[in-house]
Amino acid sequence: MEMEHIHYVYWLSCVKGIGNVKRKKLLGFFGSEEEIFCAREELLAKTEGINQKDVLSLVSGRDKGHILENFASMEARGIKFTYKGHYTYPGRLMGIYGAPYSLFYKGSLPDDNKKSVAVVGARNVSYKGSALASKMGRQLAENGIQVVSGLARGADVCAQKGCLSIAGGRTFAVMGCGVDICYPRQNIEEYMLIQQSGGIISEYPPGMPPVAGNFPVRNRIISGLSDGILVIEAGEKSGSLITAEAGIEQGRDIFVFPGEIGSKLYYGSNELIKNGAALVTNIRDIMDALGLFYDCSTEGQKKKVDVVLERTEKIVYASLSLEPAHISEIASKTGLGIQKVMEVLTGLELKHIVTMAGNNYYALRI
Amino acid sequence: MFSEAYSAIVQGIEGRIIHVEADVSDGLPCFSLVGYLSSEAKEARERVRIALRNSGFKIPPKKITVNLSPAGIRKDGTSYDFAIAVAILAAFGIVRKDHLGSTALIGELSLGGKSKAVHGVLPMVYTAYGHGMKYVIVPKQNIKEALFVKGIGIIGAESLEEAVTVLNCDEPCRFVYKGEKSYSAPDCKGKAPGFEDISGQDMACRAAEVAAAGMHNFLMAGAPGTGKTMIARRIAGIMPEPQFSECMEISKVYSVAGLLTEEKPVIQERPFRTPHHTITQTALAGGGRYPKPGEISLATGGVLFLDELPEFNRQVLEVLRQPLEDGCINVARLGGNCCYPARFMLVAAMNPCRCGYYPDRKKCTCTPMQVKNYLGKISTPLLDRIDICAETVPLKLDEVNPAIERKRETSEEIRKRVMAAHEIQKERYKNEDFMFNSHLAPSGIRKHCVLSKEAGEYLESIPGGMSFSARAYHKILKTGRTIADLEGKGLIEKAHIAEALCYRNINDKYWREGRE
Repeated sequence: MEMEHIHYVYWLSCVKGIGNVKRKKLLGFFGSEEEIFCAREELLAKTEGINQKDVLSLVSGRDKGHILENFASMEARGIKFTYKGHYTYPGRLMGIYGAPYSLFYKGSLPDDNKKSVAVVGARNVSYKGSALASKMGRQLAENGIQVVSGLARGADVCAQKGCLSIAGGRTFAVMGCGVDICYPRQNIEEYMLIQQSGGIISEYPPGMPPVAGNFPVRNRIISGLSDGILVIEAGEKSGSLITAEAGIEQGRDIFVFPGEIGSKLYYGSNELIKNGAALVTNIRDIMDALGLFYDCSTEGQKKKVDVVLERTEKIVYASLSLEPAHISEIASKTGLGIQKVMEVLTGLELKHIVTMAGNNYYALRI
Repeated sequence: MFSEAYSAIVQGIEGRIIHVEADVSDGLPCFSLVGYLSSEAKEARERVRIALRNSGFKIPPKKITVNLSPAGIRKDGTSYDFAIAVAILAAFGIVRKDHLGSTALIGELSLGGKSKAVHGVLPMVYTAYGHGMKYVIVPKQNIKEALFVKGIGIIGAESLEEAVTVLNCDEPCRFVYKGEKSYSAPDCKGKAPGFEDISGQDMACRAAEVAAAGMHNFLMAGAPGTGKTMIARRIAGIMPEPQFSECMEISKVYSVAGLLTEEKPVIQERPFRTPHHTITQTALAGGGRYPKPGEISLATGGVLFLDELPEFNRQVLEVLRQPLEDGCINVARLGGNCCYPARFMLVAAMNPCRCGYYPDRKKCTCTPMQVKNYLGKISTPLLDRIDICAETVPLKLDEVNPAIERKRETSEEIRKRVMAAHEIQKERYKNEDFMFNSHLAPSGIRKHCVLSKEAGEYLESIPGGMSFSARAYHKILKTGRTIADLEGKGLIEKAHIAEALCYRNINDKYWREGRE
């Protein structure tokens, strides 16, 4: 089999030590991937910014049979490949600054004809943040909106979990490592599920380890693949702010859940609002901004109800909020005895309207 | 001339009678001491020789041989000095042999012939009593400890001379100590801190009550300064007072460990041991070249409190696993093989993370990884042995404000309920080899943890909402049993199960999040 253009692009994407910057310089100098592939060593060495080590790695990988073999084995493992200019390349990424040269993905890429929203937030997320993230993930999926995120711990994975819990929910995870690596490991369950309906996406070749420097860079792809970015809970130096910033540069809408004044967890969120991001409190705000029609009749009416509460249960329920409260606090707030409160809370938990957010800490379930 | 006297040694926490045989014969004058002796026991030769001289006894130059039998058992300690000296004197005919067969001699000698206190007097005297001895002569300093054993004449000797006087008279019983019949502890109930001092923490206090009622192991997690240690210190105070047999066992352990003093010759309250987290395996479990009881044995019948649980060395904590199951620990060493009791209630306290504020994300500065590592320091097998877990909550200002009156149950009131629950359990398990709900095995759970119809349906409806393992299920039933006992109910009802569910720990989110 002969090498086609896609194989040359694949080769250039996988050369060790050649990142976006060097690749751009090489392409500027030689014009096309094929030229680089055939270029003489001296010529490569003359290119600005290319050192001897890079030349060596460029030259040493020039075995055509080997490249074709690798490409085939990659495809056999279910990893697909696309590049800028290919017909499968996401349209949303075309226009952005610093668009990824090529993409590796498992599953599929976001549908250009459907709206997509990135849900990002702190890894170190509070119960409230994780509950909101998963609720939004769910509601976005219910309204046919694709959810893009980074499969990170905390808000990211909560949103994706929420999306996956809805039949037909599509979610995409942009990774900071190769698509064949599940990072963080604990999210393996979501990693597997996402591939079935949505996709795992990365600009890094398979096998790339999760290097810390990769993550801020991939954030531009998360924002690039979306029409709007929903920031769940962002602290002062949160990575979500990088995504939001990239989104602003790319002309995306920024949606932010407001937080308490002075709360460390929401410092970044509140800053974003100050700087003009859209303050949202529910799914409707987001859909309005995206120009979608929000059908009120489907609103989770079904959930609110069929739960009949007794008097004491109502009292306890009324004392709860999204901020987890300790049993002792609930008891002193409601004036019920500690044993009664424990009994009622367990009952409410079984009715799925209250959840144990931490040991002996209870919060509302949304 | 040959003579024989009796002394005792301690093995584990049990005593054992030792025959001290002395023989005096013609030959080159010498004094030899045999019978598998440790070095401190060998040194008795010098002590006895000089003590005899300084007590005014003239020992003719003869060949003296003393054997401590059974010779196959290693003899540590210095409690045979008295018996050796008396046996030699008897061999020379200075002491009458009439009472030697019915008298045990315990005590160390100084060079001046005075008696000195020794460790382990209580188990030794108890053994002498068990062997049908009529009298036991102990150093004066140990007399209060020895008095704890009834039915044997306790004679306190200040010196070797006194002991000889006792043995040489016709009626040694007139020397029997007749002071206060038995030692009774000064009433310290008024002084002991009670639950009434604790502000807030209703849930943790209730959990402590349930834990004490069923002797369930208990773990408290919570931010620093929320009262975990305060609660732990008060748990021993809500347990029923120890019975005589328990006091005896506890005191024996303390006697062997050398922790009984003249001021406090027996232990009559439940011990509360709180080893520091730098403790070694040996210090916790017991051991040493010649075994000594460790903290878990010193806590027998009471509370072993491990503060800052994750700071303990992991291997040290794993030591607890077997004693928690068996209620005793076997310590095998070169110098002997002992079984010490270890029937304690484990109470542990820990912060939920390094900074102490998790799950309050506003205050907690730890990353999820750090939280995970912190919680991960405690192994699942150990957590599995802890039935009740409660979180303490940071207090609000008005809860600690002394100006605001709060009514709180006293330890005495709580103790009444706990005692009633203990009584119910004693009655229920009278034919079993355990006493408390926490020791129920799966077969026992089926037999004793009978659910009401409503509670059964309730529990069946749960696995959809909360996922838990068979082991967690058993824990909930055991805890539910105790809660029902506290209320004096025969069947476990829905409310009891609901409360027990609040004390679960291992399989809830908090831990799961930390352990992933």
